[in-house]
Amino acid sequence: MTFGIRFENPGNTLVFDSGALHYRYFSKPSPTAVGSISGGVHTPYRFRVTLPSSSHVPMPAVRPVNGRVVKVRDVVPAGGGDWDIYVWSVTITGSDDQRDAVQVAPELYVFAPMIASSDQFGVRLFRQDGSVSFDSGFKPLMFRQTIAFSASAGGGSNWDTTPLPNQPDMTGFYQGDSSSVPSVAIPVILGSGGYSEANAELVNASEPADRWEYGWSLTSGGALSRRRLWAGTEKPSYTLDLAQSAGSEVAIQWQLAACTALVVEGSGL
Amino acid sequence: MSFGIRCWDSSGVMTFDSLSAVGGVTVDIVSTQGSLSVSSTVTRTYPEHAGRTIEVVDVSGWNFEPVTWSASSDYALGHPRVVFTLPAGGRWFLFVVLVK
Repeated sequence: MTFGIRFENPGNTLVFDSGALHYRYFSKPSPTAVGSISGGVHTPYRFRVTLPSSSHVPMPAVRPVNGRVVKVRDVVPAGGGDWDIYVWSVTITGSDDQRDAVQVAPELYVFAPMIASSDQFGVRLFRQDGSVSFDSGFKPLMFRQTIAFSASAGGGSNWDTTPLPNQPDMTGFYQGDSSSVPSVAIPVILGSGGYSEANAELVNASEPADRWEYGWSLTSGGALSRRRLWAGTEKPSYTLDLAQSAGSEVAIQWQLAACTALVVEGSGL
Repeated sequence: MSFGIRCWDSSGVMTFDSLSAVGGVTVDIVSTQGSLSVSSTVTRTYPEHAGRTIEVVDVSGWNFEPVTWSASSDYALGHPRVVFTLPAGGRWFLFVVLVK
């Protein structure tokens, strides 16, 4: 490093670097399109944000809520400084099968790159190229906690004789996992919850049957949890399998990627 | 507070506290679209952070489509490097790269 300043915390983790991409709280937008579930198809909520520069990229985060699953599904540039952020957000139904869940408006927090504020005092830092990297007049994006979720895989022994997709509770599917209790008053989570593909083995054939996304929730005890969110049926041929599966055994296998949740304090934003 | 740095805005609200921050700092945000027809790679290097570790967090790396991506990091160059491998299909990915 030949220019600027850096800080480490007592654990020697870098927590500030004037040359880094410091982000700031930008907005908590309202959806421009409401999500829905119809015919087993999830349509996400859409949020449009307009950033000050076409070169800026937003960082979206969502607030996990007990009884719901929420997930940022897509972040897509829409021209100029416009970005469309798609969010899935559903209730957890009594059967814990989000096929028949109800969409519920998510809380989305958007962070954007630092620019110069209008404050007349404070700290403003610049990169070597002269661009603003930090301005104390904004609320900087500060990670307060990282929560790691491990990769998982399983199934095979979870036999179920109830034909898909009519099981009231697909116990063979991985429900999700939970980890530490967020250390902030209002946790806001950056990071995808991962993805799982389930395979239903029917009549000696292995066909990808259902796909599951994993989003964020909170347990009743307040721990951060990633929970499954039904994303759709994989193939039309699945229907054919169903016709053959009445009364037969169904083996379910799944795999789920590891991921990290970055926890931000949402209080005061 | 006996050491570290804090910042307040003009209304007196604390906006930064070096003792409360964990997880590293954001050095890169990778918003990229995969190729429509073939898998593709995106390589990023961070020579100014030699000696530090990096972590990649996917913000929207998964989607309705059963796509698989990977983010492989190494330090063979003497500084952090990440190689993103993106599947065909043309969808957008958003990753955050942290240095610790």
